Amino acid sequence: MVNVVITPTVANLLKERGITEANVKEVVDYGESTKDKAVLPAEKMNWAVKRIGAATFAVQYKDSGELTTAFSYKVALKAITDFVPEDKTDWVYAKTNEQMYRVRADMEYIGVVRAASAWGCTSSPTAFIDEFMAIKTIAIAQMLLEKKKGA
Amino acid sequence: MDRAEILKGLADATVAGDAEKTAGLANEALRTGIDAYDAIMGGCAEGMKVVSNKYETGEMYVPEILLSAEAMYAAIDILKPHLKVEKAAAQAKVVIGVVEGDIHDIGKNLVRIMLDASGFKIFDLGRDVPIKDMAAKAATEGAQVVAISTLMTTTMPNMKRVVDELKALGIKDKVKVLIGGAPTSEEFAKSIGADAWAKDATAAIKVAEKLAGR
Amino acid sequence: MSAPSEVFFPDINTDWHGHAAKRFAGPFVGVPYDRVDVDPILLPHAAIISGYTLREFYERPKLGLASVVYANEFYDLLPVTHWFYSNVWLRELGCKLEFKDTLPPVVTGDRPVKNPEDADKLRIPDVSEVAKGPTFSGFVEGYDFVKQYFPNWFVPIHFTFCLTAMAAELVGVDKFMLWTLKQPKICHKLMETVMETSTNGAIALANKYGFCMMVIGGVLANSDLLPPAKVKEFGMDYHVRHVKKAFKGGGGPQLWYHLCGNHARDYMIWKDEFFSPFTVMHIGYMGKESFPVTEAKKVYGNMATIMSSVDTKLMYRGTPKEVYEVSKKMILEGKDSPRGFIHGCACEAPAYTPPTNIYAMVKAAREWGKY
Repeated sequence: MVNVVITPTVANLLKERGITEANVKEVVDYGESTKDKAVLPAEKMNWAVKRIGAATFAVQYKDSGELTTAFSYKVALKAITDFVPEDKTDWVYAKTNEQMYRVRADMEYIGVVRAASAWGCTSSPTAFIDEFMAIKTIAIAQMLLEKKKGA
Repeated sequence: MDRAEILKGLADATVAGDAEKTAGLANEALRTGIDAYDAIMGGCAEGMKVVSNKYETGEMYVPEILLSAEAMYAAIDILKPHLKVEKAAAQAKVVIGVVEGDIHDIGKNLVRIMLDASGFKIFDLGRDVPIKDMAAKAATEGAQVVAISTLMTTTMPNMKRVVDELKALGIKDKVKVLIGGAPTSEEFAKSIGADAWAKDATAAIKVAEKLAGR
Repeated sequence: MSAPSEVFFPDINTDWHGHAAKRFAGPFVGVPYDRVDVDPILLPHAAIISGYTLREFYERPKLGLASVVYANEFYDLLPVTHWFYSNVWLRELGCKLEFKDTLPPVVTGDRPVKNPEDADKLRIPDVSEVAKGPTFSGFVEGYDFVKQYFPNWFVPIHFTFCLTAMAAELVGVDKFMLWTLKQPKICHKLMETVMETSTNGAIALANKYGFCMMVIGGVLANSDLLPPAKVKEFGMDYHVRHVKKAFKGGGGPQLWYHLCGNHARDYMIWKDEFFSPFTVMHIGYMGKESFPVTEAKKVYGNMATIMSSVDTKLMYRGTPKEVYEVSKKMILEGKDSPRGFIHGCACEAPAYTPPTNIYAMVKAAREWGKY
């Protein structure tokens, strides 16, 4: 198992984003034990994702256990519907060593299912949504859905 | 190379977009005494017919047409000065341009290329052509056809004004008007007194030939 | 301080707007409201029915946007304030734009790229430079005006007409087409330049307003001009990079892909576009005919909100009855599309469209598009 290391800077980030140390450890433990995670071997980086309660948590950390970032989103993965293998990323799916590429994933929130672009591969049941997508695009989409469904 | 080989070579090099080869073969044609008109019509024009068919079937697209046109013009520039006077005079004349107010000319350029390849004498006035200029050119040159294009609905009324101007000049009975462009239609052509409408560059050749009585 | 002259209509009917806003949100939140929404993409038509000119629509962004607001209430359309023209972000790269009486603004004069080696001399303006440029200023003039006087309507929209067409304008369309065969590296350099410039425009807009809807066209990259492989190479691939980078910089989340013109041979490749949860996919034509709603639903219905395409020739030259019958058919075919449906025109409603033809679209939606 990996010992999670949280620097003060990252601790502030977690606080801003409402993510607890317990959330982070649960995600990292899940990624390490199942290998359902993405890795960047050259940079010794890891990316694990887990649904905890009503949110999906994503954590990126070094092989040493040091956290580089963590973010969350309320949408839940419903299905990966399409693959675009030409649009590759350097991330590799750890369980099968398959290089990942862009996928289209159906994400569900408050009964509404919509598509979003993420990273994945045919052997990965997990869709890895980029941080910028999660904290900007998906966050605004969630807010608009909440607003409009309630309007 | 014999005559058939040269003409086939011109056609094939036109299709392939090989300007160096068409120029070489044009010179070879002249050197071996092939009539310049025959070299254009039996060589380059045949090549452009193939190009036109391939465009219709989706085997070739605009970049390839333009490349083939480059190759064709490389040969025509060499052959044209050697055209016999009577052959030149016999060419049906077409005034072509994008109607006043519009500057989108890629469709018009494709039609011009195809008409050139088919042996018409072309007076290309470019784009945003003032109504009076288009009609006046037709009158001055004794054109048989005026071909007008537009991409914008806002300038479609100007097509009718060209027809009206030809009538005002008293030459509408001698000049056929062919229109084209995305927002136009056969119905619109009829409504403005134009003689024909062509849905694309390939169709424009057949229509222009019919209008010119060829 | 009294309102500017562009506020020339009585107050917007807030009841109407409330319903229109819910109707517009319906497709995106999976909760259809009362009926199918209608968007004929009004641009200078809105100014013309308000007594202004096509040129004024483009030269005066506040007037243009105000007239779109009023026209949308007048016709009972979706409440989106769109104002744009095709040659955006090009003045920033050295093009000269001219405003015309019969056309949207056009690039005139010498192009910044005459020879292949000129492509390397183009300088991509960064975000702060784009934010001081003429394209951005025009949009911000309009959007600040909407934010102040029509706050319920306010959605800042970043517009990329068509990256392929924009790159082509730098050198001339015919030349660019030829260079895709003879100088492909230069074409890619030009594509990269317009893509980065437009992306910086989106980031600048997102920096100013917190987010921006993105509208991206596939116009020159279409089946009449380029083969599918080149539509992808010189079109879609750059869309993907543009949207990703713009989203990273705060753009989105709304995306509207407007594939203008004929996409008969390439419409499937756009499935590899970058998708956000709020994406509209709109394809104009299949050959010479309006793109079939049934095909749009089959291919894109599970990925995005789809939009129908009444032929703009019919909008301009057809009768209201003809527009109504076509609209009825499209609405019946599209209203149950899984991710939502908007009834629209293949491209912007022509400037001089008879108003009764716009009304015919709405009448059909009211009568056949109920949920």
